[in-house]
Amino acid sequence: MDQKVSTPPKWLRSVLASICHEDLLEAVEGDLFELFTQHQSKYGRVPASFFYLFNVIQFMQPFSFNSPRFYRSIYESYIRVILRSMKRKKVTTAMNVFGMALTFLVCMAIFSYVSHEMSFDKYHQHADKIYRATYRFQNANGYDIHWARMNQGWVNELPNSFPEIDKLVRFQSFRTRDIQIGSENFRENYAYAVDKEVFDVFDLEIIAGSKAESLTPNTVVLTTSTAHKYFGGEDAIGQTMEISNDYGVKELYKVTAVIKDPPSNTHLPITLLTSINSEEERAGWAYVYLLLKDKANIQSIQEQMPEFIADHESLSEGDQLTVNFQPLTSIHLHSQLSREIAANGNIKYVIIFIFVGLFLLIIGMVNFINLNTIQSLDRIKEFGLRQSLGATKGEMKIHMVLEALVLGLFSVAIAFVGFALGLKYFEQFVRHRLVFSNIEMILGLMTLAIVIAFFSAFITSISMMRIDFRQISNWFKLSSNHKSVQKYILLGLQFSAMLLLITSMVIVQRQFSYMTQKNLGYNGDQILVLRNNNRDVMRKYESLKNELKQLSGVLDVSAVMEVPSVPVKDQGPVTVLGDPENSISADIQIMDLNATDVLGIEFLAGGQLPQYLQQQFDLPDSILFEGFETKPRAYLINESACQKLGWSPEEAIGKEINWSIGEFSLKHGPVMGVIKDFHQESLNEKIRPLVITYEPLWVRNMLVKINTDNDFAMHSSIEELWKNTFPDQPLEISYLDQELENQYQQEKKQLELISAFTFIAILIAFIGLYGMMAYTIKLRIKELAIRRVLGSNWLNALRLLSREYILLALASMLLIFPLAYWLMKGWLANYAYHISINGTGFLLSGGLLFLLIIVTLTYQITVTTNTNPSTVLRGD
Amino acid sequence: MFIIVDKGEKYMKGSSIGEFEELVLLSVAINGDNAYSLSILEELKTHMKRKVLISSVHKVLVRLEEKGYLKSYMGDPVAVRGGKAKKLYELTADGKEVLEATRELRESMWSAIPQMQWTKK
Repeated sequence: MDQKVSTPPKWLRSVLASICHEDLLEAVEGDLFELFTQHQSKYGRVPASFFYLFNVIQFMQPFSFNSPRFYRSIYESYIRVILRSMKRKKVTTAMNVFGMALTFLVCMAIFSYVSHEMSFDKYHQHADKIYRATYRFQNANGYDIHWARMNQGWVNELPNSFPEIDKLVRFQSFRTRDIQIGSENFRENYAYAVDKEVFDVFDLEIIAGSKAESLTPNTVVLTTSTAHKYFGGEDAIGQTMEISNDYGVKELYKVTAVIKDPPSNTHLPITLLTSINSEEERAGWAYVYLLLKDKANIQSIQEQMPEFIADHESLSEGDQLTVNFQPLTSIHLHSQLSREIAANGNIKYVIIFIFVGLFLLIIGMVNFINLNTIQSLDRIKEFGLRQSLGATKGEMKIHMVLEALVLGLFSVAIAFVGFALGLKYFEQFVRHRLVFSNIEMILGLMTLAIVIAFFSAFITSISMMRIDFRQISNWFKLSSNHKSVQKYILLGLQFSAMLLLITSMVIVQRQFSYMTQKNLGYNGDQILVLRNNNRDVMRKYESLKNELKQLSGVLDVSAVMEVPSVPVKDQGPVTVLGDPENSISADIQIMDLNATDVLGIEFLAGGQLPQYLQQQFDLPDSILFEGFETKPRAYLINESACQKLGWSPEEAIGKEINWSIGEFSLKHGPVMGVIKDFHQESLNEKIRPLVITYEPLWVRNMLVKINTDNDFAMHSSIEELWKNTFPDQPLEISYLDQELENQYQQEKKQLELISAFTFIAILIAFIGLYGMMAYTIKLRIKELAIRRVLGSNWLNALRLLSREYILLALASMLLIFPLAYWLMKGWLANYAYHISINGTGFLLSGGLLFLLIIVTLTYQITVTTNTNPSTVLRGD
Repeated sequence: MFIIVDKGEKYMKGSSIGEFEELVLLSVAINGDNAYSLSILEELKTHMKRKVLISSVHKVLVRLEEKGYLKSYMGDPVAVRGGKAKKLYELTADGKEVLEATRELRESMWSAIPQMQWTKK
């Protein structure tokens, strides 16, 4: 037998030594050693070590545990002492717990918000195998569009060409749809015509009806809330309704199933799904989703796409068409394409939130540690006594950890109650239910509290352990311990976090108010929009216009294809007659002749469109279409288009241009006027070249300029007129300026949240600073009293005490301001139109910090100097 | 500040013992001068023909000592135990008494079983 004696792992032996009662330790150590040697000779060292570990774990039992009763009472007494001291120092404890609880509360709010944002679409069983096909088109003129949807017919061929693709689902007819049930009219967004396979790709839970029948021709699937809206408590299955298609034609549909409302964390909201009724209908614009087979790789499909596109599409020289596949789960935060289904979130905001949370945590943690250290230093006599009575350093450390832990867990408890009570209001504020994991949050918070407690105890012990308690005189020397390096590091960290937070938030706020107040190039005030009208309505536009004008308070009525604030959906090439080389890509906007007046759009040159464009509205569409290509045209162009074409505004007048999209080509006609650029889309988008003309077939929205404050009377008189004219058509009416604000709704909410959190961060920092300074003054109270007796006033005291803080603040500024400048410059570069960074943010944050220091100190000094110096000095 | 309960007070003398306790007491008796945790473990394993955890043996030994049925003393350090001593146990008068009492109890009950009853199928 191998005589070489190897021993069990040393660390395991020390674990055993630490858990096992000393009366038993000798015997147990010996036993386990014997067993270890037996096991080792039988099975080898490693298994023997495992047996040893297993045996050690066995001794974690009450009978063998390191004196359970004795320790329990020690801990009880610790806790009792801690609670007593908390009671004695009510203000400091309250400040500490309040600050920490507030920090935790905000962290919880940020956690719930951020995890909601990150959870989008992950609930689908096949989430990681679903991709959305997006469309990108570029040409030599620098024309570059990237859309979330596509209208290429060949996209349907994808599953045939690529065996890796299991299923393809189209979401088409996504524009608002009119629904008629009996005599009731509804208008729905997020109502799509979809392929039957939608149930195999997405997780749509059917709660009534059958999957087999659903989405066969002329059937409709409702969500629970839609079903409830239409039929109340009645059974929706088997009911029929008329639903309009893309051309405004109503068809009869039968309800075959009701699905559960999709959760709030999806980029694809649904109100109802109609069938695609024939293979011919399976065309046009659609959001296209692909389900890959197991283990298929999207990369290989992506690589073969250029070849596939070349097979199906003949592109002219210089044109480039790409199809990109977006993973389903990344759409919400990472996809900022044109024509998204609904406004997506933005990863940038998520990152800002995480940063704010981190900074807040730093500020809160520093507070906690500082206040805790102060509290311990205040009890130096207690610690001295403890140690002289035989407490070891280890026991004192345990005491400190426990003290911090009690405070930390107390704060967690308060924060948790606060969160549970406030979640409802928070959800109301962000306007949707938040989806997040409670367990993750609680565990995370507990871990955080424990880590902070240990860290705090560690920092405190550094201060405490430097004191030599054997010298009784040291028990009374408080001031020698308060100037420590770690205090300055912590305070500097807090100052820096505060400065960075405030500076960047000021810049973010300025950018945002710039965006909402920037001149849009038109005036949206006092304009009512009658939205999304179909041809049945627009055919009667001229007569309705006259009737609307009769109403009191109505100044003018006009019509446009797309209301400003809604992106224009059609872009195409513009050619110049007699100059074939000069061609650009431009959006088209259709406007009634008076729309520039109604919207207050300014002209740089020329004037309105000519009268001859405004003809025979009420003819049947087929006749209007016949003359579509040959009809005489005239155009307005915007400044950007004018520049792109290389003309000055004056030169442009009278030039013959045309515009086309696909097979629709408008005849060449003269440029009648050049208008100033205006923001058709949100300020996040750059203004693109735009061509404006009037074509009765293409207007969909009416603008009513009003001059009255009586909204209610205005609404009801318009409604009455509408009901009399179009008993079968739903009326969608809104204020243009409100629509404009809605564009920024999401960003506004997020910014309000960020500002609120920043404010809380400042508040917490203030609490900490206040406590810290109160302590500094307390240490030097006798010194101050003597100085006062010798003739110093509060200003001298302020100068004396504020020096270290001011210097620290200056050092933090030196470090943080360049960093803040660099970070914010990068952030602003994301916006097409943005402010330049000026001194405001820096001045404000620096000023605020100084103010905070001076105000707290002044207050404290005033309180101190109000007491008679003799009272202070009498003590010794 | 805190009260430590005297270990002996917790258990009443003459209280009965469980089966595993009885077996451990018997193993102590069998092993004589070398009655310590591992030898008892081996004894139990051979007689009971099942696995016994070392911690269970220790647990019972501690309890039996608290009850006053066993007394312990430390042996000499041994190399094979990594230089640690054995904790050796021996029965006290009470321990012997309680073993005998259990045995008598069993025997008197066994003898009370009628032969007929036992062989009946």
